[in-house]
Amino acid sequence: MPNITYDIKIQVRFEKDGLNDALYFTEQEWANNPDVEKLKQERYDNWQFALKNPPVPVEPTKEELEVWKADLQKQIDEVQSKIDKK
Amino acid sequence: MAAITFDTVAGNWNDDTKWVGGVKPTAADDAILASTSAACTIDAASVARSLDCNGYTNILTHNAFTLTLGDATAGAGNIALRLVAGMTYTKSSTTTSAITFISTSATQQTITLGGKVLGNTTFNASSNGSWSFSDAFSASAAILDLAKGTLNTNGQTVTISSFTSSNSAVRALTLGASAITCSLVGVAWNIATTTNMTLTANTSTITLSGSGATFGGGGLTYNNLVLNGAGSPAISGTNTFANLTRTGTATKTNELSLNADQTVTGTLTLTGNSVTNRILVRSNTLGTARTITNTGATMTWSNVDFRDITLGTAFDASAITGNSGDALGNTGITFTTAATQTWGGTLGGNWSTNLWTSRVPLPQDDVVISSAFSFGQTVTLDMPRAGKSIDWTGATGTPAWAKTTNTTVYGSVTMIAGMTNSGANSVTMEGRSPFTWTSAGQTFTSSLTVAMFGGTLTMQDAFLSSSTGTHTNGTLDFNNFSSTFTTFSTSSSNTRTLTLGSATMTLTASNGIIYNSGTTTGLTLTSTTGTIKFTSTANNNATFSGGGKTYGNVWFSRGASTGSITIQGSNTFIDFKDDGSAAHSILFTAGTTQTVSTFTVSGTAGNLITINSTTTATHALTKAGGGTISSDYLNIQHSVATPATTWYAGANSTDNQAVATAGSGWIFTAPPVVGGVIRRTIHGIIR
Repeated sequence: MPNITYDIKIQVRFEKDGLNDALYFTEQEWANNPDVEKLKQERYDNWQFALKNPPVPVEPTKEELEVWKADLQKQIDEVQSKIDKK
Repeated sequence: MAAITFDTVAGNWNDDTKWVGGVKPTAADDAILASTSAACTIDAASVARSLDCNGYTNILTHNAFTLTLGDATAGAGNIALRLVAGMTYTKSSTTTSAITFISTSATQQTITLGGKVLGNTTFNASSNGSWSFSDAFSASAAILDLAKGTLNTNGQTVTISSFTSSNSAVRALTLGASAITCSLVGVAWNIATTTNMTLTANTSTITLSGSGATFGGGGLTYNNLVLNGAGSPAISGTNTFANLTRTGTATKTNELSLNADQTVTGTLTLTGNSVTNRILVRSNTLGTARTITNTGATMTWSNVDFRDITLGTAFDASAITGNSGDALGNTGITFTTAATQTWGGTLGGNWSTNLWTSRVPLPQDDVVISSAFSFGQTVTLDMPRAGKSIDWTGATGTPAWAKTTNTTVYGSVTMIAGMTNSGANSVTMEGRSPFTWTSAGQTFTSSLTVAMFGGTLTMQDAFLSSSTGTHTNGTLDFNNFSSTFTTFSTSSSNTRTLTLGSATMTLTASNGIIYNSGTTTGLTLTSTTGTIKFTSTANNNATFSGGGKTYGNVWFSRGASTGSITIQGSNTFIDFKDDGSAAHSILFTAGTTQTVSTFTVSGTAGNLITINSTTTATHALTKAGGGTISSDYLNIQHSVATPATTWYAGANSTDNQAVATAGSGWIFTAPPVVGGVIRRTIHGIIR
């Protein structure tokens, strides 16, 4: 018989005020009676914080724009090459 | 025809008085800059049959005009151009201080540069023109263009920015033993159109040194091609090479992109710089394999990975120097055997330099990071191919996961609650079988691209991102869990399935196309009862590009934003909702039809929501499932609402339907009150 090892994960799937999420526990973690409601609340608070504080768009640097321009030029060259084939 | 010598007094080429005899050269004359000639300036478009500077020791200044050389007969001594070491040749422009050779004489004429560097150089005979290089040819920042005629590089060293000869004119290129180096970042070699082209490669070597240079071979037969620049050089055209060499640089992002099948008859050399500065040889199209026909050829490989490559004759690369990586989709290559790589030690560090079980993870290696980290440790992902599945289960000490390069993962990602994320570099999922993503409450700071050709990524919990989401290939199943992105796009022509399910996808960006499935070719979208929610309150214009698909709900929850909302595509929604509190517009692309079960859009006094088209033509709104639509405080124009007696704009809405192209169907009253009395519509009158 092959030596098979396996891990069991306990899933706690929940919905909280519009957040559909899941928590996962190992057998040992589950046996220690985790504070599931607290963990749910943490997930929800984190989600709300992210929604209320979306990232501020960062303007690309000159170097990034140059890279972008080079990429576009390459695409233009490739299209021109296809046009030349016609 | 005559040989006309430049004067002993400095001046301009086009000043007749500066030429011996008082007349500047015509296209039939040979221009001579002799040992006695003074400094000469090409001050305007100029012509001659040839230019011979033998013995000239002064300065030839070439302003931004074309010098055209040639007519129906060859220059004296069969010289087209002779520059010499003892003279000075200065250009005001690499591109427009150009020389064009137009001789129609079949007699081969020579071009000698004496170590000078030309600008753009064109061979453009209307017929029969024939030229040969007599010494090294350099137009190092310029284009060498063989538009027509015959050019023999004659075994000379050629240093140019790019070579182009992509047309249907009769032309021939003979390379001899030339070493030709093209430095352009872009299409550095272009014979894409080979009609009427005769290429004789002889024993030549063409080297493309530019970063990401493209070799447009046109399906011809070459001797040696060397690609030694950084980035991702590409080969297009179904070419044959005696020897094909890709030499990587000391960077981690070296690739070789094949846009078509290739044949190598001698040696295929693929040399990554090191174990971590590897080369990825790949098809330019994910999931479309490119075949390298290598019958009888020698494979000389090291530090190289492959994606979507079929090797015609199988090769065992399992034990090559630096190992071989399987980035999927390959045939005919035996790769280094996969081995799980576990992060060593309790300290953080770089992916590329940390002590793993046996090696820096290859694409086929599972990655386990389960260390008991010391406080404040960061694991920095600095490799472009991270490994197969990455599992943080068991790690302690709240490690940080930073990404400092764009990377690809070929399996699952399992994060844990006790860690953090940072870095804006992208993560692309390219597994080709079922895999999972577990966020464990992490806010993922990288953009996520799902490009899983034939594979599936199933979310195991809510996905929370502070960056973008892009879906280009395979199946992305949110598994009825919530998701949050700045923007989300699934706009391509690839086969893909997007399962939004019953949960909410929240999109937080404020400007531009926030949700994009504008190109729906190959897209299967299952939305069921889920909601796509726009939440930015910034006063920017946002677009929902639905691509004509069927969605659950769309909800514009933009608070006091005055930015307009544009709806593209003829889409179907269960509920179309806008609860913004400020005056703003919802603009539907003219000619589109939105089909809704409910339409939950009402402004407030002094804050009307405008319903309009993107032009002065009309759009259509159709209610499905019976019943009525009840709105208020709208400003409606160009809107055709059906069925009849369904769309009630309320008593406080503004009717602009008669302005420009007339709209119809909206009733500018509140819907009829149905109380204890059963009302029926008879002949259009509610009784």
